[in-house]
Amino acid sequence: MTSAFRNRSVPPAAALALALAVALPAFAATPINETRPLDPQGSVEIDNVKGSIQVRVWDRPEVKIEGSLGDGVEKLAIEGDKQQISIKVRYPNRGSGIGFLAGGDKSEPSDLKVTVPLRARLDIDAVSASVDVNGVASRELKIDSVSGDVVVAGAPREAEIESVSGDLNLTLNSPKVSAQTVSGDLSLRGRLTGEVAVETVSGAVDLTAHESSLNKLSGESVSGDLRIAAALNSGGEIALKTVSGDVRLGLQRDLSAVVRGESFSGELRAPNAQIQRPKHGPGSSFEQRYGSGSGRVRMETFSGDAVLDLN
Amino acid sequence: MNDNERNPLAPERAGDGELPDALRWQLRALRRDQPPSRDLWSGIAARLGEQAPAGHVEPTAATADTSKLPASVAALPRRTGAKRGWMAPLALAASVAALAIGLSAHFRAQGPTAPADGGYASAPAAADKPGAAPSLLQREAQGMTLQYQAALREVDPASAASLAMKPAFDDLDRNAALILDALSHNPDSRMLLEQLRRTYARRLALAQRLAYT
Repeated sequence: MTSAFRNRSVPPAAALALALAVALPAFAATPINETRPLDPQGSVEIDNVKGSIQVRVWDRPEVKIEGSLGDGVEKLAIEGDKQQISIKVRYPNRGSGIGFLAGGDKSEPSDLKVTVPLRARLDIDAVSASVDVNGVASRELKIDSVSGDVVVAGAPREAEIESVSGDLNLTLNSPKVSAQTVSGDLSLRGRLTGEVAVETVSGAVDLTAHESSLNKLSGESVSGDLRIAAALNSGGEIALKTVSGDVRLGLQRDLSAVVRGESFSGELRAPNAQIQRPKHGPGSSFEQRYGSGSGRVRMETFSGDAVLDLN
Repeated sequence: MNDNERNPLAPERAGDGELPDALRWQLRALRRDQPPSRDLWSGIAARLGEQAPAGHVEPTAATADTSKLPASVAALPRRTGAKRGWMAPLALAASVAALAIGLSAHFRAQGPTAPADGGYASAPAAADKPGAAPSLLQREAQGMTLQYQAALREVDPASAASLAMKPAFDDLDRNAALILDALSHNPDSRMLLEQLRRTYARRLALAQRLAYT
């Protein structure tokens, strides 16, 4: 009986052991714990194709790199000096860029947690990796993603953030912001004081400027909607253009600007504005002066509606 | 032989790689064409009427349906007719438009917002306005479409990568088709032309990034 029991019980145990032995490397992740000196206003470049990139700040002149490298990754390359550090997850036999998608990639995702000096300049490249940046107050923040979502809360002097299909969720207190997606949605809020440029193809844009007013805002989309709530400085400019996307622009009640609207087949609406329609043919337009008319606002669509609200 | 007589041959070379250059020259030749001194549309319409099957309607502003591509499809066989000389400029315009449609259809996925037939660019607008030449912006859009598509053929990434990014490419193509359709209705909109350029530029940039990194 005993031998029979053994005969029956051993194979499953052996199979389990074998399975674990085979499976463990697949789930194995190499832990990372590295620290490098960096000038408080130095530059940090981070490149990780898939997994996650998390950036936090501290007041030390150092960069700390934690997290784990996925199985199948060739190595984590950390290069540079006290002025500039490059942190890249390298994959075997292919580049670290979007082209990895062509290689039938089987490597596991890598997770990077990088702590940088508060004012360090950041340049982040991701493909499907999610990006989460919190607290930076650098001169420049640049993020380029493809399908991974990007979440940022910070106060860089200049932010340039792009994605293809990933969503951008940005909370920025910055005087200069540029954000673009193709199909990803773009949410931008915060104290936006200078120039803002937002652009999507089909993604929706939701922009809210708090306790601040803009000098220049440009928003473009093909089929995505643009929803903007902001205030415009005296002499400022706003230009919003879509093809089929709707435009909803909310500005301050005491706006001083000449507002022009034009659409081929969409509906136009603005307080006190007389919408002009040609006797023959499609199209409508308006021009309305508010206050002393020091700024310029233009809304243009093909078939999308364009509405101005003054609150 | 003048340019107009050579041009109808171009579509037959569509698959041999000479197309971009040939089309560039065709488009340049188009710009040099002089408008006819008299209205030719009545004669064309009559001949189209003779050839059209029962139930086929002439492309007027009220009846033009881009899904039937009436001008392009009906005009092509006429290139072999006895009056090819005076028909050549119109046949050329139709063939270039048809080619643009065919090429773009190759790149575009059919999405809910895309025209079901690929009937965009100047062909529908020309059908809307019988006898009217495509606007300057429409010609620019046609040229731009062809140039970008030729460039995209050069950098089209490997299939696995294409597959991974297909939703993004499809989205860009759908939106390019949306703009082209809008341009056919509002052919003088610089905003639409600029949007088209940006959309193509984004698509090309994404394809290049996929191919070269």
